[in-house]
Amino acid sequence: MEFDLLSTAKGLVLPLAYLIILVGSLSTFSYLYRRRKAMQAASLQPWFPPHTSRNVYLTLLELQSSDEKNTKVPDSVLRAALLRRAVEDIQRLIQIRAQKPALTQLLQRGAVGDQLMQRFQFAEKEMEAELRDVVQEANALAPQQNWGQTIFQSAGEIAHTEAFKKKLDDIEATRADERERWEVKRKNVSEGFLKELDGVATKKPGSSDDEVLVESGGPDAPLGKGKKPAK
Amino acid sequence: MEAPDTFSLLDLGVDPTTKAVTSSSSSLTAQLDVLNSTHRGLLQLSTPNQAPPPPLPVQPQRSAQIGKLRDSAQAALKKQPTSTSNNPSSSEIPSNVSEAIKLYTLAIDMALSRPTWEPSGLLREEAAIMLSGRAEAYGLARQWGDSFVDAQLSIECKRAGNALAYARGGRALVEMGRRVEAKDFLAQGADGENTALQGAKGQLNQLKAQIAQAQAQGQQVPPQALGQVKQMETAVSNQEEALKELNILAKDVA
Repeated sequence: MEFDLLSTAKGLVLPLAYLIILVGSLSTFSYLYRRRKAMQAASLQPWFPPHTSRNVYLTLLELQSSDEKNTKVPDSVLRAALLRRAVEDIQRLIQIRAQKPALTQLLQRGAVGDQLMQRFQFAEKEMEAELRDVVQEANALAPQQNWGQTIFQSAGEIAHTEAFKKKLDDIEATRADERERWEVKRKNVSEGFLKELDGVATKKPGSSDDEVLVESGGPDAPLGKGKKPAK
Repeated sequence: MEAPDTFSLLDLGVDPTTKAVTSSSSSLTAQLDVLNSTHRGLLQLSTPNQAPPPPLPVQPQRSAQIGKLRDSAQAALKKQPTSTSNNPSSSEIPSNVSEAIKLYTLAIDMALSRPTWEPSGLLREEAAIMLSGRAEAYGLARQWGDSFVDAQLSIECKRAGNALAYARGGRALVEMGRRVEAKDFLAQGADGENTALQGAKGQLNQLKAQIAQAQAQGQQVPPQALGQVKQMETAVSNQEEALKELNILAKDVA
């Protein structure tokens, strides 16, 4: 049989069309699927709230580079802002480290969705980039000192000290109450004490307290502080 | 957080004279206050570029000053026997005790105002000792409320190996007639301190064994190691004493 171009082409139309439709539909699907995925990832809620210290630092940097004469930002301000940024990074890093094992476990048990884990991994990646960026900036701002190597050490101490001082403040806040409570009691006690001074020498001034009443249970114990001076 | 290469531009300005960062939005005020105080702290540094130095080594001046204040506070407490305070009805404080309280307060301020980028462990350690000392002074002044708060603060600063602060806090509670609270407080302290003491003793023994081993092998033991052992020994014996006091107090209350 003689080779007939036309009839061969005619015979190939069907398989070719088949292939084109197949590949076309697959690639369309893959394109759409990827785009949806990317959109989903982009719309994922960020793990952390906006990084304000970072924004402050970058805004100041922007101000400096735009350099209007009256709002010149000195480098020392930038250094302070960078240090604050590093402190916030440390706080986030601590959070990430604390959350990771729990989150992994929850994911294994199926208690949380994939999306949560995705958000978390996204945050982790961002964190890495952020740390690298801070080190670079630090080295640029204090080159003689190689600040990049120590900035996170300093920031770590700052984060610890701040967390710890907050606890101290909580306790310190009770001081006024404690002081007043004792002053009131001291007044009551000393009034009673003066009267009983010759009476029961061994009795401590604290014995007029209600809590002691329960323990000693003495029938002669006064029922209230008010009664004592009247005795 | 935003994508790595973007950020949100904030409405910030820099005061041309004070160089303080300001903003018109009130939500940033707290953050900018911290930033500005950090800035002021950095400006006092003498390092090149005025970047904070690494946490270690520490400049010894501040610790020396705190130690001096503490010594004079303790000297003030010893100056004259507190004869006037034997009368609990008199609310006036012996002059030497109020002097000591003032000195301790200075020392505490100095310890707590240590630049925050310096080691937080050191800050805690020093603040714990000073607060515990002030708790004692407040006790001598019969201001038990303050004494109790200071003891709590001291414990917050240093949770293990702080039996003295537990004893002082417990004593304050007893004096205020809050025996139930005192019982819990002291029991908790005695429990924790016991473990802490065992731990410290274990560490000391380990160090001693290491030194003995080194000596047996004919190696030279560095004098620092021996000094460290001596330091640990006094610390352990101090802890032991304080724990004894604590246990007696706890037994009294129980």
